[in-house]
Order: sequence, then C-alpha cells, then structure tokens
Amino acid sequence: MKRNTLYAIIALVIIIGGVGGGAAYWWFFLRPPPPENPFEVAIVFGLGGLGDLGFNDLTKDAADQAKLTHNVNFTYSEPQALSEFEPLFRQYAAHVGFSTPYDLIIGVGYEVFDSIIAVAAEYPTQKFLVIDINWINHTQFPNIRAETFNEEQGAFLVGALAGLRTTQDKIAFVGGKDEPLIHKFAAGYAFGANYTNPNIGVNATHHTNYLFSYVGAWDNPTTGQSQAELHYDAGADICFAAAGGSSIGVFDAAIAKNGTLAYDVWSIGVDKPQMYLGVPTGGTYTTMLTSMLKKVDTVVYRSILEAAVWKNTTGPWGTMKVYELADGGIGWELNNDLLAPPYKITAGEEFLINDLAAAVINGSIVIPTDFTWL
Amino acid sequence: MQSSFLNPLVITWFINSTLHFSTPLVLAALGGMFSERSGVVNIGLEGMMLMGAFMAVVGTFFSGNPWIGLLAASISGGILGLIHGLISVQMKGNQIVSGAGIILFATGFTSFMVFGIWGIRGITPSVRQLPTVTFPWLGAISPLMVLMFLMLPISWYTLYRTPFGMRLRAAGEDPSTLDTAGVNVQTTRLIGVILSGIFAALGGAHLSIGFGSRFVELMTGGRGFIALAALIFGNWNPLGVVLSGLFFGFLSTLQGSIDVLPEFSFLAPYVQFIAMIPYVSVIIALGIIRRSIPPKAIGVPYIKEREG
Repeated sequence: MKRNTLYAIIALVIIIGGVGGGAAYWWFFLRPPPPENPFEVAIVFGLGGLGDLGFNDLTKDAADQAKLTHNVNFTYSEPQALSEFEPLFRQYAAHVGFSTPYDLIIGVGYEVFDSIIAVAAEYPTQKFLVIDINWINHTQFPNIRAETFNEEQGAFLVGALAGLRTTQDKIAFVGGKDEPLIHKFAAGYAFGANYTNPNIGVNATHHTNYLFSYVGAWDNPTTGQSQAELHYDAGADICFAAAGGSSIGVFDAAIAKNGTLAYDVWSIGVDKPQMYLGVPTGGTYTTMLTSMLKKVDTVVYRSILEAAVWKNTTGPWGTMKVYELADGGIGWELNNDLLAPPYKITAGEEFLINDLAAAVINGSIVIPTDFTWL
Repeated sequence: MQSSFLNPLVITWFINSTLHFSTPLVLAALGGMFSERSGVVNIGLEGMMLMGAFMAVVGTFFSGNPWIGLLAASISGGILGLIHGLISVQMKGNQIVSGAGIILFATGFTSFMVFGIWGIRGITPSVRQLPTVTFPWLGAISPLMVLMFLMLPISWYTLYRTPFGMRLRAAGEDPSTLDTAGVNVQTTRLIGVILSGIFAALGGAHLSIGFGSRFVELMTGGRGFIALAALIFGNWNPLGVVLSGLFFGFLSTLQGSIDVLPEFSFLAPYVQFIAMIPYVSVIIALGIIRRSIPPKAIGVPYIKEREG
C-alpha cells in the first residue's frame, strides 16, 4: 500500500470518527427534546379517501367541528393501500417526532381491523376509535372503542317511502360491494318498501319486484350509472344507492333518465343529506326523493370531545356503541324545498314514516339484516 | 324472477351500455395503435385518459360549453403525448418508465387539482354533458361514440393508404430503412405518440362528459390497461382493435347485468372470472396462440448511425 493511501485512510477514519462521535454526543446529550404534540387527534381514513361522500368525509366533518367548537387540533393520512394502515397507526401510536402522545387515534372503516388490533396490543394506554367494526373483543382490547350503526333501520324508512311513492311497483338497489354491511342496507330497504307496498313482493325466500346489483368498487361511478340505467329501463322507478363514491353514478342516471321514460324516476342517497346531488345542472328541483342518514359525524364528534376535551369518560373507553333510530344516529332526509311542488312529501307521508320509526324504536317492527337471496 | 332480457328497453340498454363502455377503450386503443405501430410503447394510456377526463370537465366548467371541454381534453392529452414522446423518442429514455411516470403524474395532478380548483375532495360539481341523439334500439348516442366508429375507416385508411401511415409503420418495423429513405424517424414517432395522447384523452373525456357529467378521482379505474389489452388482442390493426374493444365493453356490460337479468343469473358465480377475461385473453393471444405479432422495432429507441 502506498504511503499516501495510508495517510488518506487515516485522515478519513479520523474525520468520520470525529464527526460521528460529535453527532453521537449531540444525539445523546445536547439534542433538544422533541416538541410537544400539537395535535390531539390523528385520523387514518379508509381506502375510499376523502371525497367519498360517506364516512371518510363525515369523520373529517366531525374533526372540523371539534376544531371549531373546542379548538381540537387534528392531523390525518389517506392511505392508498391496505398495507399502509399498520405503519401509519404505529407511527401515530409511537407519536414519532413528538414528546407527548395523541389523545385519540381514529381508524375509519372495517378495512383497518387487522392493523389496528396489532398496534392497539402494543400500545395499551393509547385510545383508539374505529367505525363500522362490530366484532372486536373489547375485554381483550379495552383501548379500542367501536362505533357501529343499525343501518337497516334507516334503510327501512327510506324503503317505506319508496314503497309509497313507486308508481311502477318495482324498486331497485345498487350496492358498493357484495358483503354483509351492504346487505344490511339492501335488506332493510326491501323490507321497508314491502311493508308499505306489498306488491314489491319481498320475503325471506324470494323477491318479485326488487332489482339489485353491486358495483364491486367504491370509486367506479361509470359502472354505477350503467347499472342504475339498467334498473330504470327494466321498469324500476326508484333506486337506492349505497355505494360510496360509485353512488354518484346512480344519481346521475336518475337525472339522465328522467323524461326519457314513461314514468318519473328517482334516486335515494345514503350517509349524508345528498338530495342536492340530484339537482340537474341548471335545474331547481331534485330527482332524489330522500337520503338515508348515518350520522357518523355526530357520534365521532362526541367521542373526540370525550377523549380530547373532557378526558373523563363516564364508562370504560373500550366498548362497542351501537347507534340507531332511538338515539338519532340513524335517520332520513326530509327536504321539501328541493322537491318540485307535486312531489313534496306530504304531512301524511311524514307522519306515517315517523310512525314507522316509532314502531322500530319500541321494537314492534323487527327488520332483517340480510336475506338469503341477497 | 323479475325483469326479462326480452324487453325492448332492456335490449336497448344492453346495446347502449356496450357502446358506452367500449368507446373509451376503443379510442384509447386506436390511439395506442398509432404510438405502438410507430415503435413507441405507450403504457401511459391510463394517465392520458385520466387527464383527458379531468380537463374535459375543467374546460366545460369554465366555458359552459362541452365542446370546449373536448378541445381542452385533446390538448392536454396531446401535451402528455408530447412529453412521453420527448422523453422516449427525443431523449431515448426508457419507454416503460416514462409511461409509468405519465400515469403517476396524471393521477397526482388530477386529484390535487380537483381540490385546487373547486376546494372539495375527490369529486367535481356536475357540468353540461355532450349533446346526445336518441335512436331506437341504440339509446342515447353521444358524438364520441360516433367518432369511435368513424375512426375505424379513418385509421385504417391513414395507416395503410397514406404516405404518413406508411412511414409510421416503417418507423415501427424498420426505422433504419425509413431513415435511409430520408424521412425523420423521430418526428414520425413523435407524431404517433401525440396522436395516441389525443385519442386516449378523448376516450377519457367520454367517461367524464360523454356518459357521466363530472370527474371523480381515479375514475378511469384501469380502463387504460384494458385498452392496452384490446390493442394487443386486436393484433395492432384497426379492425381487430375495434372488435376487441367492443368485446371488452360487452364483457363489462354483461358483468353489470348478471345480478339483474334472470337469463344471465347462471353466470353469477363467475363475475370475477369475467372481469379477468381481457387480461387472460392477452396472455393467450401473445403467448399461447402466437397470432399477435408486435411491430418489430417496438420499444427500441432509434439511434442514427454516425459516420466513422
């Protein structure tokens, strides 16, 4: 080895060692402590992302509301794939970059299940909140709260209204995916329509005048529109959409089909008050009869305040809370301003629907959550 | 069960829906044909479609005129094609990497700009649709569906009966001969790629302002890749491309009607299988039957021989 090379190597070792040692000294002794966590709440949204017109948007609304009323700061991520959930939850649970933990970490949708229980087991003092998961063992995971809904009750009410309003005695349903959660919507809706209009002909074993299909994705409005147009052409005049971002295609189909068929066609929205989405470009009146409301925003808002503001929960944190008609977590949209004069919901119809709601609340009507043929 | 296929309205829906689903596929695939016949692989079709769908809505929203939206879409598609062309032809970059870059760029740009322009996430307000004419048995026909059928003779004539088409094919088969004949290979290829961008964007515009009336984040949903499949299954010639595009559109329609029409209910267990057919058919066409023959110089940047 040449002498110069040797010197160069020695110099290099000294420099690297010096700098590295200095860096290590700084890291262990001089480094300023990480700043306090400026956020109280962290949200990991479901795969549909923001703009799904459903639970992701509603959770964001809840956080915005908490920010407005109680100055609760929040941060969020929108994962693009299932594999991103666990690192995100772990990053928030370990409060990377901050000295203090978050008061609450929210996971939206049932897709987060596997990753959230893995992280919750590692951080037993961190509070978590999930939506739409009803199979968590809360004695094993006392730090996860689950908020679920009896969707079939709201679907029953909008179905009852559809049964009253259908002129063709035939109604339709477009779901996002063929799975148990969506079956609750489909079954409640069919049962409700049949309740007020037996011509729909739905029972546990068969369905005569009830058309249904599944888009297979939460973000494919083109397929949703095509399927809804088929339902309308096949003779149904009211179509209920429970398909996340794909629902918008169903609403557009109702707009496009109105006036081309011998009968008026209607859509029914889901989750949020969506009747405004049925107004054609430049029009005044909507083609959407009503929406089934699932008030994710209200219940998430309540949990955010409980975890981040009041900090004293009355009961244990880790429970499954079921929201339904009785506590106002589920409802239906009534907006006569958007309906053209001949189609306004009459006082009689409103009374009947509220009467049915009362019957559901006191238990005299039991709504199926699934049918074998769905 | 409930509704029969043998109902004029349902048959009309079936034909109309097939045409609706095929239009974006056929337009993008014919565009891709111009690019690939000239020797440039264009896997960026998906991104160009997405950009076209988005710019069509932007143009329509700000002008109130869907034709302006169509113009905006084709310009944006042309620009993306130009970028892909500059990278892969002019600078001789890797065509696959450049195409993938186009997809990533279009995905990010459109999602970001929806928020940037309207301040809402994921979905734009509805805009005016292209005017449609309703025919018996065919349903509402929009101008882009007409264009799809016009493109068959036009692209066939262009490709096989004009000097430009001849040069385009030569650029894809044997660029050095074309160069010897005194034609600029790079310009020829660049035009091919720009054409592919324009047609892919028009296909995307059909999704946003032809069939629907708004842009939704990631609304193309992989149709660019199915268009590529149609291009390969159609053996890179216009008739084959149009037929395979129509076939794949028919499959999408069939998939949507299985749950509703009793005649097709026997297919219910195979819904996912039907969704897979386009991709499988490409593998069969390319690998097993070997009837599908790509242009010889596809994917290879042309490097002029230097003297000495």
